[in-house]
Amino acid sequence: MVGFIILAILATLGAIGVVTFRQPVHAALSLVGTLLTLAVTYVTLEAHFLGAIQVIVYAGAIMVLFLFVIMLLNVGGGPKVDRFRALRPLAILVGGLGAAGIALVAFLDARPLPGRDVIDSALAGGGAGRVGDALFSDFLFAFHLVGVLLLTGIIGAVGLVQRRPQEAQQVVSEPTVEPHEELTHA
Amino acid sequence: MIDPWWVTAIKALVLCLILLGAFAYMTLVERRLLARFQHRVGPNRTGPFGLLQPIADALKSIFKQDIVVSAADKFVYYLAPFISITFALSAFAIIPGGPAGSLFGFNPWIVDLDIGLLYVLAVTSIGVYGIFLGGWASNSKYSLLGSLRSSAQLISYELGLGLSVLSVIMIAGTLNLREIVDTGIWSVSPLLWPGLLIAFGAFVISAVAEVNRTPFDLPEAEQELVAGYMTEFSSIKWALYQMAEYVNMMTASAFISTLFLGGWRGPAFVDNIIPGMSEWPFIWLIAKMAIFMFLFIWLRATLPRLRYDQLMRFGWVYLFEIALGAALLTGAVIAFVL
Amino acid sequence: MSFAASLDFTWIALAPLITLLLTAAFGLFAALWGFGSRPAAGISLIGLVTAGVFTFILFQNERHGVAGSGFGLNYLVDLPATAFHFVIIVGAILAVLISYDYLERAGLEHTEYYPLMILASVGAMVMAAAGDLITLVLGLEIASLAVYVLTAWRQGARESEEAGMKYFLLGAFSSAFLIYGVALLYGATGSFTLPGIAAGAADPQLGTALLAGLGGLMVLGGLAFKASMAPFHQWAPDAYTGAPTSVTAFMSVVIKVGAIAALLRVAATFLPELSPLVTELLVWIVALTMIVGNLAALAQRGVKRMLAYSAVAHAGYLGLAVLAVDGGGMRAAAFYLMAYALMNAGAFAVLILMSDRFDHGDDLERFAGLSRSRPGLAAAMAIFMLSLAGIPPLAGFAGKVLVFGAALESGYFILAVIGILTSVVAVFYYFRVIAFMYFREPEYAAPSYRSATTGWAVGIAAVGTVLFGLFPGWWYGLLEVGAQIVAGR
Repeated sequence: MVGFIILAILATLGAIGVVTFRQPVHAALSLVGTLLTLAVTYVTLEAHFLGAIQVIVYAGAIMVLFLFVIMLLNVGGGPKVDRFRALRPLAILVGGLGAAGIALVAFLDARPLPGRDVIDSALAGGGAGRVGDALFSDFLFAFHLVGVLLLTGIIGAVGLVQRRPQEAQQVVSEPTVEPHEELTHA
Repeated sequence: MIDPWWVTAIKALVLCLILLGAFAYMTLVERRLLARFQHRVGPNRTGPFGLLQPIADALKSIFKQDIVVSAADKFVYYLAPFISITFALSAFAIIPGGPAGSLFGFNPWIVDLDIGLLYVLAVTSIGVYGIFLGGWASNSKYSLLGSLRSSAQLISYELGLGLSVLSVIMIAGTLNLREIVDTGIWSVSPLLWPGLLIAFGAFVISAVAEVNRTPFDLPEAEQELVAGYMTEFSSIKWALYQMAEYVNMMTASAFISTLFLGGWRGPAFVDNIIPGMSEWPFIWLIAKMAIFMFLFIWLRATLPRLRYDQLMRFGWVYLFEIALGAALLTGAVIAFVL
Repeated sequence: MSFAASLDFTWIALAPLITLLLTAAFGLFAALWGFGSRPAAGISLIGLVTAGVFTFILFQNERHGVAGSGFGLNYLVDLPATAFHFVIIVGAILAVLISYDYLERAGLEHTEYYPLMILASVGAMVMAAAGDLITLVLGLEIASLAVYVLTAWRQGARESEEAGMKYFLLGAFSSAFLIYGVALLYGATGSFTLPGIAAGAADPQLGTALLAGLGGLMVLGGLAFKASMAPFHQWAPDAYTGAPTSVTAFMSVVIKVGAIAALLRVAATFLPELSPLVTELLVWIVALTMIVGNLAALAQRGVKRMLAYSAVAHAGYLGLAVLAVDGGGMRAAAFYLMAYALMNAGAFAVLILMSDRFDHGDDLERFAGLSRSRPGLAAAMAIFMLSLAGIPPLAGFAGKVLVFGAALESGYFILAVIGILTSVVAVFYYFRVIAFMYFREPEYAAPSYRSATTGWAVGIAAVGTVLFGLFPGWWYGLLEVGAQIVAGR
């Protein structure tokens, strides 16, 4: 429990860092910290496979790509953006209320956990085997759909990127149909 | 049997010391070997056969001035080398060194995880951050270019790595490295050999790329990038990066041996000489690692560096497909023939 | 569940999906071998028609009680599902016809276009047939991902790229809400399937009404976003206006069918079991959608943007059917969607023939005097506008009658009144187009662009609109048993 509280605090601090750091790289690193903390949380809950996948997919692949883009574009911690300043208190209020609401619901609706033995048998050591079993029985159709989803993503990315150069420079002109001189507004 | 926690802690500490010591002497071995390849003598003045050279090097890098780039992002600049070395060292924790209980009654590994293989992949994928952030935090164009290149390279070759491991996982039916060694993947069926051989080749190539060694050492292409991501690091921080690189090499060697070459097991025929010899802990693993360490150095002495586009094309167009093909082949054999 | 037990499906049940996936793959191969996009259009048409035939067979099977199964509750092949599939396929066929010449003229011929369209249709079909929330989310993501890209298809044009970006960012945000809602519902009820959630939420022992309510709210919000219901409609006008017109025609029909079908299933299963507050909220959403959509459309000068807001307004009427799902709403929605697909796609096809190759020139002024320069086009547009406004004897009228009838039957009297009042408002802006076409002197040169395939699309849509209006009983009659067969009920 103490471990969980420490991890929860770390994860929350990381999440706060993501939105408060001015330097994009620091914000991204903060997010990496949160993701790693979550992975550790999964491991403490005996879900080893989930923890490893969390690290490989989120921290190892997605965040590296995030940072990659940030570095390629050389985004600095620019000047403070003042747009929507008036909305900021409102945003904080809505966000705070939302978080409080979810927390409230979670506490009010808390249910006792099933027994330790039930959880252990369901997790079966938290390895890949149990996940694989579920994936290829209950979620077989969903598994195939994920394949279609990934294919769509790939085709979409290729479709967006693969353009002949002259089209990228194409300037959208005004309507080619010119108004009739004798028939303009009466 | 699970070791008490204090044994695990001691083992971890000892392993770190051994790895770091091995790093020190690997630099010497590499320099001597490269000298041999190039008809030179190499460092032989400090101590007998130059054996004290690493100690002199270590003292030098500790006492050199630690130049901190004034425009650097200080926090990340200090953090990056430690990320590199920490995750390089932790990856080794999972490698089994012998049969259970063979280390004075304790297990010859630090931890025994069911998801062992994924653990290694996860830890190495975090290790990328060390290189990546180091280059960025230095606030220098050479460093940044080097780190961008290297992270792109590491991500690209992780695919080949992961896919070629797939064959082994499918045959062994487990992610646990100890159980993979126990399975003896080559003994399952000769029909699986073609797929395994291809996977083995793809894995070794990916591993060379993952540890940034020649011919894939673009992150530190000195003709173009001075020293890549390490350009602005000096003294002990630079030494930490060097450590991480060599430790990664050792991990990669141990990993290749464990996955494809039976790990800590010796060849069966040695049992005819001394019964039980193939079960001796550590020596077989170290011997196999030594072969691959030599291979790494040999490659460095022999091959020129790839160009960046060649590297990417090779990784995505050839290696990826070959590894995928090997996985498909193995899967097909398991599904339809066996 | 063991592996063998999970293989609970019949090939024919999945035939439409598999056909479309193969079609997309063949279309890609056409790209690989450098055939350009025209053969891909042909392949897509063949695939869509084949899938339509399979769907019709399934539809007939269902009517005669021969139930197919696609992985149990993962993929339902009940009567509503096949009916919605049919609408999606019709919409997609029209969109392919519209795109055929349009792409070349606009310089947007890239071979990935048609496969993406087909994949988006697959996603929408999966949404319409989802009996469990995981399938629903995946279908929604497949459809959305493809449409995000298609929206930004006009590279280098600010409107299109902005539209794609907006749609993508807001869409991703709404997907996050949806997925969070699914997670909460699972946490509250321990099930992903719609009937399972209904049973779990009805079970007083679980005592997680709040959690389930919150989850239901988020699922509702995510789906309402995809159906472009107010106040989640903000993306729709920009995305619809910025996207290439053929894509607008496609997404205003196909994505909406998927989202409305999913909403209908949710409303038919677990929505009543959640806190009444959730249903109350949906009532407000529907009312707001009808009002906002119609009033905003009234203020538009550009016909494309007007049609975008009108799509929002129609989402409101469809929302009425969602609320009235127990009083024949499913049938009404299936009919309404078919009518909507025809008249909306037809209207956008007319817009394509009117505007230049950059989609400019859709102002009302350009419609002035169209009845003289292009009488056929003007007549078709008049039919679509009249039908969208809900004037008898066109398809739109029959759809509205059915929807309002269902709403009244389910006791949503005030909503039905709002619907009728806003329909009256809608008559203004639809008639403005007709008035410009028939009673104004031309101000611009007559649009000279002609395209055979787009013309066919206009013709098919116009004839369909008239026929469905004259003989609504045919399609509606086929849907007869539809109301009873809803997931788990």
